[in-house]
Amino acid sequence: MLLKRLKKVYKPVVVSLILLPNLFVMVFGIESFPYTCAPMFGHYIDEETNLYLFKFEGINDNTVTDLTEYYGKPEEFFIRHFFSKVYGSTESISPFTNKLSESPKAFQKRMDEFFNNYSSFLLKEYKLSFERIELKVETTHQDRINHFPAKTIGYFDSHSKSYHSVH
Amino acid sequence: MQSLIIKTLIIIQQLVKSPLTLLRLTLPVFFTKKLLAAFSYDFYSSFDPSYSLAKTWFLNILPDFFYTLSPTEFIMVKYAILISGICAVIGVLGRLNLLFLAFMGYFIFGLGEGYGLFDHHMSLPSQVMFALALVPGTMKISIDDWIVNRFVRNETKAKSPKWGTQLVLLLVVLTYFTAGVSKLRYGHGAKWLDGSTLSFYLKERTDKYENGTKQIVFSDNQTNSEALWKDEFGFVAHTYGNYQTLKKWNHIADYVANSKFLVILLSVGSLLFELLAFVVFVNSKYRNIYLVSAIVFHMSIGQLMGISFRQYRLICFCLIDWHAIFKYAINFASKFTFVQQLKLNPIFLKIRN
Repeated sequence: MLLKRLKKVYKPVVVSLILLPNLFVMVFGIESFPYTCAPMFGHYIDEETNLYLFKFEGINDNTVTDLTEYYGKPEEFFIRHFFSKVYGSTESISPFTNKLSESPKAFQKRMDEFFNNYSSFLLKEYKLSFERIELKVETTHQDRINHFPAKTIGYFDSHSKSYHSVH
Repeated sequence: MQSLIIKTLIIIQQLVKSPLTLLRLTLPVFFTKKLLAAFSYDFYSSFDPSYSLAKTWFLNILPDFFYTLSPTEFIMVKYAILISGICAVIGVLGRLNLLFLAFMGYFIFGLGEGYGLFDHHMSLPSQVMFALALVPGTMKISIDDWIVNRFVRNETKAKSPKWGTQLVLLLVVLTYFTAGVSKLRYGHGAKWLDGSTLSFYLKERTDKYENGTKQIVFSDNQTNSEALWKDEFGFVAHTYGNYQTLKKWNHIADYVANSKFLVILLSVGSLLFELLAFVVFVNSKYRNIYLVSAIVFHMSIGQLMGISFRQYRLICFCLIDWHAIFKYAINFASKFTFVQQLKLNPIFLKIRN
């Protein structure tokens, strides 16, 4: 009797288990492994599109340290993680993230967690500590030849352990 | 000679009738290899479980001891993956081993997502491994099946229902369809078809640039001022890369990228290809044409952009309706006199039915 009932529900349970998460990420346009809305070329870029590079710099008094060599992983992975899981797109739901909503409070919480984690990592792995870690943006082109002076968009204050936007 | 041909034909027939068995015999080989290659101790131990932003939904539900394996325990897990891969292929506790491999895929590539790389190559294969563990029709030509056959009388053995294959096929279809939807949804609708996005990626040479200048983030001047509360730029997304380094393919990619006609053709073609994925359910012919197109589609991307999607190609290859092709080949072969002389008609008749 129980076996018969199990047999009856098995198929719908398996079908739901496999399809529903995929439908969910497709409808909401988010991703979290292995479910994805497949956003690889799901954006628009043309010659008018503004391209940028993210930079992190450690500041102590007047000494500036470029942190590119201190990411602990290839730059691509570090920046992709930072952009998709921490900073986030301007659009409230981005296909590169697992967030279903965005708010200044949630943004602040993520930035604080990221920078606290990163500053601990710098101290543990490279014995580096900074009064501030600045987040900068450089305008660039696809050939990366022409860089324009970097602009600070925010900084992490090690004393208050908090990120501050300059915008 | 005749009996050898009959036995071979019966094995081929069993295989072509069961695409999921074909998948079970091949996919775990590549999947296990990829798992073992991705799962190094340095990679594993660099993951910080207290840092919540690196966790996927799956990593969030795992207990803490998954993140605190000693080097010895870690090596044991690697051996378990290897043994599990072998057992999944030969079919010893096949479903359990497939489930274990899928679980390890969710775990290891989940760690990869936390590290910064969502491995889109492995998202569909991981889900297919999970599906193979649960749906009927996976365990033909396996030791498990052989053991079951010894104890279960033939007349009580039910024929494998087709919903397993249909479900895995639907999983593949949804993946392509979603990719098409994302292009329209986030690529400014029909504007994406003007080819400029593909042109950008065909020209991109990510590996050429030094550390610190590889990863681009972009904004598109379309964000309204109210949405600009994080910064003045309005970043939309990060780009992906083009990892092809062979000059020959780079030249071809440049040629395509510089031809407005070709990039529009490619853009329209790839979007239509993705949105029309459901045609696989119309009939065998459409299914086979679509899956072969998918293989060609991935091979082209592989050559032009250095992104292979090898396991996607294998999945598409296994899901081709080989039974229909086999029946066609048998019909064709039976017209030849030397084949008729082998007196294979009874087995041919069985295959046709």
